[in-house]
Amino acid sequence: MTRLALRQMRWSIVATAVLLVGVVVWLVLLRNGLTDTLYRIGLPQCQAAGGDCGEQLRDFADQYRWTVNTFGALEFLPVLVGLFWGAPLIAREVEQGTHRLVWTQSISPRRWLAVKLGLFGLAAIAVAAVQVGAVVWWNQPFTGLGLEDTSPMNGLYHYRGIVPFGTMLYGLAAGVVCGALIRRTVPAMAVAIPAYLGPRVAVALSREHLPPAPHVLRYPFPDGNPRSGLGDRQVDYQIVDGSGNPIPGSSLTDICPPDEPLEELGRGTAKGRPDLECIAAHGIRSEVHYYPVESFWPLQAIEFGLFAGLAGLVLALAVWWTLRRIA
Amino acid sequence: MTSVVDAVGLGRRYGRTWALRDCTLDLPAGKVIGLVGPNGAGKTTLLHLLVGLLRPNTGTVTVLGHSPGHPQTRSRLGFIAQDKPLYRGFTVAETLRMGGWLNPGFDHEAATLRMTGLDIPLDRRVGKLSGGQYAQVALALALGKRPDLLLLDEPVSNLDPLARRDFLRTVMEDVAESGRTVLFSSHLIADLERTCDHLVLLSASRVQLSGDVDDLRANHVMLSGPSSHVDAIAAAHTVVQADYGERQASLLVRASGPIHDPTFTVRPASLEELVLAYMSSPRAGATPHLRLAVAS
Repeated sequence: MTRLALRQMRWSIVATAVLLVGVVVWLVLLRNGLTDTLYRIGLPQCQAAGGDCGEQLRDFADQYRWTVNTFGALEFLPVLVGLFWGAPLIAREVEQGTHRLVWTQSISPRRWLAVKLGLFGLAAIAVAAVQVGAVVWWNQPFTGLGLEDTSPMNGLYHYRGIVPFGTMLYGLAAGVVCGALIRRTVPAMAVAIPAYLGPRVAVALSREHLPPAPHVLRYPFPDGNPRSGLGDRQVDYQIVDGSGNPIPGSSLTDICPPDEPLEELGRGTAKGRPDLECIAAHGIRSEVHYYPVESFWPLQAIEFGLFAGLAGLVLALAVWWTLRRIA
Repeated sequence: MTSVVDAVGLGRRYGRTWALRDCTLDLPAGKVIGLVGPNGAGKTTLLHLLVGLLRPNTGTVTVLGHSPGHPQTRSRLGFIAQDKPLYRGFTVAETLRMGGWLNPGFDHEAATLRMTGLDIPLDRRVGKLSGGQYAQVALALALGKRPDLLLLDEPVSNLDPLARRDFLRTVMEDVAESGRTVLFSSHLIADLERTCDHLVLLSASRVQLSGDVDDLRANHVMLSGPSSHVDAIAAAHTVVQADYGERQASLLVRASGPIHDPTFTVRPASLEELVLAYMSSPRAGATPHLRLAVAS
């Protein structure tokens, strides 16, 4: 059965390999380009000289952020796995009636499904491994510069660690279950996209409400964040009064009127720096909610668990449905 | 005589519609068995129940001594589904190799010889073969398994007459050689007449007739005679179908003994006449539990 499945997978594997080579080449080019930019801006030179490199740091952070935004394209990998591996896995066989050919040979349908799902599952894991390896390698020259963005907690968080393994498996599973329920390849492919993206977006949006809870730090307003440069992911920032209640930034001047207007902003509205003594007297502080770099693995483990669990659940449904309802 | 299929009260429904109902069958080994019936009579449903693609809603069935999904049965059963599904992108050689991947006892050599004997190129993609060659590949794949029971669902319905003859010839040659049991469905009665030892007639989701072809031929006669005497005939024999003219009637009768009425001319019924008569009188039955429901 393994040999039949491999024979059927032949072109999927070749196409995916070509795509992955493309992704890796793209990452190599991006890395070379951004390394050049890094030296052109002069951040490593400045840091070696031991001066104040704030300006270079900001310049490079902009460039880095701009590049990392294009990594969103990697979100397509699990979608493609679901479309071209998952959806046809059962649907194409049913569409062409070939399930009746294989299910009446000496091997059982259960075995047939197990082998097909097992091989494509392994292939999805391999794709995730290549992607994660390439992304971690890509980021190497830019770590250790003291930049929040290059921390594994930020920009590239979704594309490294173990989350991609979970999303890749879930992408495959979403395609498989759509194929099993719909039994036609093209409609199954169409439905597989929202079936994957729904949970993916839901988890992305609710991440900070999932355990573990973010750490909370309060420090005097308007000082700079003492944790800056440690690679935290900041999920929330607010200004709080002495008893810890959040106050909107705009009402700060109501509590502590500026000691002198710093600038006039049209129509006579005065905007100025609030009286710092007043702020200290009211106990007004900044409050950040953040995940330190050490939270990387716990967070990754939870998200991986969510996607892998969901994948297991829908695959169980697909298997049950296929074996009970398709003839 | 051992039986290859033993079904009792077998039924399968889709939603509220019964595709097959109250099917009790005992099919003998070593025979070529024809399964006939109009479209939608439940032929495919019955075959799918026998190969384990479907599970019955009622009743029980054993095939080759086990339930249909049993590994023992699975490996001894050859099946060609309707439209003969094959992987169209595979070459003929790959298709036969697949037979070996999926069946431990697959006779790869014999299957390959069969292809070369028919001048079917092994490196041609299955999807590019002619209808007749395609059917032969499907058959070689099923026979390569060396099954004790070969089930074919409408194997020749979409073939041209020449390919149909070649296909049936291959099946019959194989049967003569191996002695395996074949059950095939068809709505082409002429094909059955040439090949079958045993006939099962399904109509309206029920088994209407099941028996040895020679026995059926011996028991059924065509009568024509005066309409006024039909009642007397019906009292002594089973009238399966009656066509009334103004004075004359022609009857297909399941005779319980010799027919003595001299006003009737008697001739043996052909298998085709017999099948058509039963098909057009769905309430007439020749299976034991249906025998009383005779056309009136």
